[in-house]
Amino acid sequence: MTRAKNGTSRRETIAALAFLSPGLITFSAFILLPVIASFVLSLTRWDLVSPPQFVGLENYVRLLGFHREAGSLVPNDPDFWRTLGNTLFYMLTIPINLILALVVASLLNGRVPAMGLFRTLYFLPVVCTLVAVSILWRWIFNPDYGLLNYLLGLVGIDGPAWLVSRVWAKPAIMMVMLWKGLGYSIVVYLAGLQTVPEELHEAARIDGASAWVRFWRITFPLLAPTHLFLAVIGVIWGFQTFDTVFLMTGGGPAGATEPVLLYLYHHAFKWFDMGYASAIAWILFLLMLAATVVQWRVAGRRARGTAEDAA
Amino acid sequence: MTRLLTALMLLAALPLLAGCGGDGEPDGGRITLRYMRWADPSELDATREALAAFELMNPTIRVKLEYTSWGQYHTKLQTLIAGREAPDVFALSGLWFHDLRERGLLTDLTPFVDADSLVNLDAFYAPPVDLFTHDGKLYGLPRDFNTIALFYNPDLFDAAGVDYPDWTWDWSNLQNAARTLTRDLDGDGRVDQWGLQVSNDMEVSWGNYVYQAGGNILDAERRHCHLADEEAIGALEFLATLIHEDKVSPSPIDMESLSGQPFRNGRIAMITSGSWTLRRLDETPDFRYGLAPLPHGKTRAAIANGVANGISSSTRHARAAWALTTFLSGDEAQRLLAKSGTSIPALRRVAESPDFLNAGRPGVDRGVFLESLTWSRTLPFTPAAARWGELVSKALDRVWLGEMTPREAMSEVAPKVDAVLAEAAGRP
Repeated sequence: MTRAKNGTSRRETIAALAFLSPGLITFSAFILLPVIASFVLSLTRWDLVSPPQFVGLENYVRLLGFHREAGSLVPNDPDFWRTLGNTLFYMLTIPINLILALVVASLLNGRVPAMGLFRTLYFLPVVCTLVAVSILWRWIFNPDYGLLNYLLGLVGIDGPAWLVSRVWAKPAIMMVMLWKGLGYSIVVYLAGLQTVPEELHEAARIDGASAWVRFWRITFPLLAPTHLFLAVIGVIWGFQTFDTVFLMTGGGPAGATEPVLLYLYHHAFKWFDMGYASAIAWILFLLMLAATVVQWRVAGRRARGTAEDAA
Repeated sequence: MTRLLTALMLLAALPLLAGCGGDGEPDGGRITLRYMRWADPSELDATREALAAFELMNPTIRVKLEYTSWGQYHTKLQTLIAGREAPDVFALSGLWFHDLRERGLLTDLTPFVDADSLVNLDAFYAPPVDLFTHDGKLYGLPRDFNTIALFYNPDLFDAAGVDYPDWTWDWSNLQNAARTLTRDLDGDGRVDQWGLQVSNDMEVSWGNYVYQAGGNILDAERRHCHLADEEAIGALEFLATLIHEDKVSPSPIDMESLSGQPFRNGRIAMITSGSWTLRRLDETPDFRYGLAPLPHGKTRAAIANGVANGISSSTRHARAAWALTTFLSGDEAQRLLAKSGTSIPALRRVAESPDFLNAGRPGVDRGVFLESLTWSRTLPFTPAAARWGELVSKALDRVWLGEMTPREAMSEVAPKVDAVLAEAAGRP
């Protein structure tokens, strides 16, 4: 506060704080404090109504630890690992999403008739209400009169009972996730494609490079920041997989589709074990952080630099 | 700088200050009680009517009704309690009762009952009294009562030439009838009409069969799971046979194609259910149904359940809350409940009167529910009941899907249930 002796700068500080206060107050009240509180809660046992009981790292041991049972190591909470595995499985949609989006975006970037219409069509699922979309897809997946099995029947395949089968329920949900998320990636790729300088393509064309070579040597590498951005966002959103599953199967059949976030939700709002739920939240946060750091490192400096510029 | 910070903090605290006071305070000598229940929209009319009658008799009390669906009810209630906004009076289910009681959130009603000459617990059916009694203390005044009965579609029985179910039926009658009633009507090689629905639902379906086989879900002390015992396994194997071998009960996969109301659409000949199904069936035009007691296995059994109204331990108007609670369990409100056709009144004299027995469609013998009381069993609720209930339900999902035998599924889940029970019992 020594610098504040100068009247002008002190007034400036006050003014700055005053202007920042709406943001600062809401940020502290609705983000910072709850984040800190959730960490403190993760060290307690708390059912929302009785006073929290400090238990140290007990929740984390129960969550991450292993114990010996009949000579082999068994996780203390197998359901956590199982649901985390489900969440990671859902993330297999990320590479598929990126590849499909890049293909579609490349097509939409050229001169296609009725391009506006196509762009709208591909983006439409993104802005549709998930609840309505889920009901629609449940009809599509109906084993007897659903559209999907009808189409499969036309080519002689007897389709499975998608959402009630422990094998097919996850792929079914992943189809919905892809359908819903594709439009967003396409738009981001389209934006990325606009930044690829036309001169490079022209020069390469003059040198006799085919469209295929130009795509792989020019377009694809220059889209590196876009790949990085979509991959990072995809993984972060992937960890947050919840709503689609909640609406389509509620985690069933027999927990086969339950992602880790639904497991967290059950601990928090079904069994009122807030401490344990907070511990899960913090582990998920650390996992997301680690995944992002790894992706950041792998991506290389150039992609990073441009991604930062873009941000 | 300090002054600025103080100002900012005051500013931030304003909404908190504004939130205080007001609620529940006397307004012109009147107090406001909040009553919360779970309800289908069809159940609300009777409640609103009862609350209006209560306000008329108690001009100094206003009652605010709050309601949610069953699925949301407990989450909302717990959140309200956590925010110190607990409703004064609220509906209790056996499933969550022990969790609330254990945390000291419910008022012990025993002293109120003792002091109130107008309340006599013997006037109620025993199951809803027993469910909400712990260590000799009563925590909820019974509101409604339920047993499970067999609902059948007489038109499908006539068409298949099968005699209607009656009290002489045992499991083999049930199985044989279900076999005859399961039919492929259009000859496409797929079943269009199913004999009997058995579902992964403890109260409505499989729990009844476990008790009929002489088995148990938990032991009397409610410390151990007995679903891996021979009797219980036998019952679950009977159900698995109906689904997977006889194929007379729709599997979860078949149920996907039966969406809508398969019993009301005549696609399932028999279901087991409680009184809450009555009104919907009564309101379905051109649909006939009959009621019979559940068929007996080794023994006769049907699950009984009930709902009570409890008083929050944090209410500031305990006496008014007691007045409301007794009113809702009293003759006038219970009669309204009976007429609404959605639940059986917990008050015997109302349930056994024409108000309930003749409230629905003529020819349907609602007395079956009351008769079943004789051999009824209440579910073994405990603290953390929702938690072990979910474990069992997930394990049975795999039996229903035909991926595991009852023996495999139950021997896997029983120790897990024991662990939950031990943890819940060890809690302070």
